[in-house]
Amino acid sequence: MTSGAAIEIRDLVKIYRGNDEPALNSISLTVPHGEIFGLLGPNGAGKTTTINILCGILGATSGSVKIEGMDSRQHRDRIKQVIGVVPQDIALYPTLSARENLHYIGSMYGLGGKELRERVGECLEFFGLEKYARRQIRTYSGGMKRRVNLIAGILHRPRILFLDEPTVGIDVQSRNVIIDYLKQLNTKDTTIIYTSHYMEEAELLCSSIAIIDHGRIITEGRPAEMIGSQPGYTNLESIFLKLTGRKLRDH
Amino acid sequence: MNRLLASIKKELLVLVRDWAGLGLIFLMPVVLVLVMALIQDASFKSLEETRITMLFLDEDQDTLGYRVRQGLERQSHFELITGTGSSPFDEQAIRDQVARGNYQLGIVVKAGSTESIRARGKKLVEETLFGEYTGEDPAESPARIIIYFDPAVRASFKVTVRSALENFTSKVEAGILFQALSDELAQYLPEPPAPLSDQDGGIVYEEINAAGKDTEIIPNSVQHNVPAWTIFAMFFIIIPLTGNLIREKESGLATRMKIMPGNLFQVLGAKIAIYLAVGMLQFLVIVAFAKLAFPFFELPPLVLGPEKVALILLAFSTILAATGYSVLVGTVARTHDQAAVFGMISLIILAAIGGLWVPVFMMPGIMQTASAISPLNWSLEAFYDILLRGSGLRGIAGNIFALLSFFVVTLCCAVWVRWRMGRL
Repeated sequence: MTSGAAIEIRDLVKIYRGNDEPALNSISLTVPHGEIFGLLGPNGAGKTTTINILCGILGATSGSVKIEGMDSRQHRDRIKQVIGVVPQDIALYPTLSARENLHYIGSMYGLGGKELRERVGECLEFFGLEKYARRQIRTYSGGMKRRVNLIAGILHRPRILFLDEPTVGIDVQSRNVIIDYLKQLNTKDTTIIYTSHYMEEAELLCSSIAIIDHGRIITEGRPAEMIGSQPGYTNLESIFLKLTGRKLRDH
Repeated sequence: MNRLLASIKKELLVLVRDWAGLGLIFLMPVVLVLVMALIQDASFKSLEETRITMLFLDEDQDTLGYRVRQGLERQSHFELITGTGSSPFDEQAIRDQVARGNYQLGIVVKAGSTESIRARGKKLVEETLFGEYTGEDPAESPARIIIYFDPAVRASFKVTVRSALENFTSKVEAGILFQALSDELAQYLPEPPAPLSDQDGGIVYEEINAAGKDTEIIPNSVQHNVPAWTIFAMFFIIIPLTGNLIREKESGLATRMKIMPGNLFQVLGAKIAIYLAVGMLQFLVIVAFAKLAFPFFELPPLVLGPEKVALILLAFSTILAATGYSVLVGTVARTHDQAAVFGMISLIILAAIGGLWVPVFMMPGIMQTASAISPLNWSLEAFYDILLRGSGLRGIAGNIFALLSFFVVTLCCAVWVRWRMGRL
């Protein structure tokens, strides 16, 4: 199953109803297996729209998406089992405990019985939440909620994991735990597609990146190569600003 | 199946931890049914069971005034007040007291009323025997009884009191007229006539249940009100259920459900299953309360009759209709405010045109036609068929079919809206 690309996007276009400008304008992209792929861009560039189409949340206006060789329109149910998604929102039931939320989500992915209990326990322990597992989510801090949100995406051991700004608005400790876990996950051959506004974090984590703006991919490659190929630029953030401009993006 | 069970368990946990929602589902409807039954019990009771205080002035000081007063005092439901302390009211004082809202009703028997009735008798006899009447025409100064009403009094109360008074005074008037006729005729006939009586050959009224069934069910305020307000309460689930759907949308949980394996049937099926169970429990709580606790509030207990299976099936279909409608509103609405305001107002409109407050037969023609589109009306008519008309499952099958169809249609609309939203 790991032969070929994890994700193949061809000429992807998305035009929202009532908008003249396309949110995605003929994007093509290939993400090989085992990559940590960063999709970077300013607000409104099209990152979340791309992720949402890849996950099956949104339909594309035209173009094709293949996940592990499976067409996203024809094999939606099979693709759902293969991918994991960590949305930007804390998509958890606030009046349920972390354990109850995770048991529900795990059951939806077909886990059950001892396997589910052990997997939930193992993830909670790794993310330092074991002793708070019975507390309702609404009582958690922002960082704790983010960690449970991440566990919800990886509980069923997906082969491809989508993360939409997984570290936004949390403390340094929680961010470190998440980043460390993602690196560890990647060593187990999980492909990670990741969006973020934190360039330093992306530079540290991603094996390859694409910078997207106005619905188009404006550059793509390995972060180190990208920095090396631009004389006078020493980090990803400076290249990002060069390519996308310094103008404020209120979207 | 495992996914459906997991979803049901999750929905149950979400619901039982929402104390406000549970209060809305169980406590509020019981209070609503009790309060409405108590309030509306008075309007369903006959006049004999209600005591009305009224001001009274007899300017006539003759037979009509005397007998009206005597008659009213003899009626247990009228209490007459003729003045304050030793000073009697005059007409202006009565008018002022009623206008200020101190009393709802004032009656003045005008001077010369009895004389006017007697003159009518005299005129009738003389015109019959001699072809002409030489006295003063009684039509120029007719017998008059003035009724002063508080402007704040409801029209239905006015009509009830006035018709009771008219019914009573017409008997008094007839008595005076008969007596006058007898007295007049006695002057012209060689043999005095036998005394005329207004009591002979009176009309006898009999009240018979048109359903014509030998039933333990007696139509009363409880039999009318409990079904009406129970249906309203069942549709109350629109608040917690739309809230549940909107919360999922706002928090991103609805998006998570799209990402996860499983289908819409499992997601919505779990919600419908839970709210159906809760609705049935709510129905049983309200019915049990009306049956067992109403007597403690001096209300007659609810009588369910023999058609319990039909009742359960009707409640089941009503809750499904309420659930389907709630899912549709919760799917279309974008915010809590939209869902709550539209949900409640549309429910009130459907209840109003459905005949929950004013019986459909009392509505104007256009509203009677409109009532046919309200699922609350379909349910209410079926409850009345069972609880008042002694009907069975066969008699309400059409209504149950309509309610289930409403559920299917609203649910299909909700699924279509979700599908459309996913494509945008």
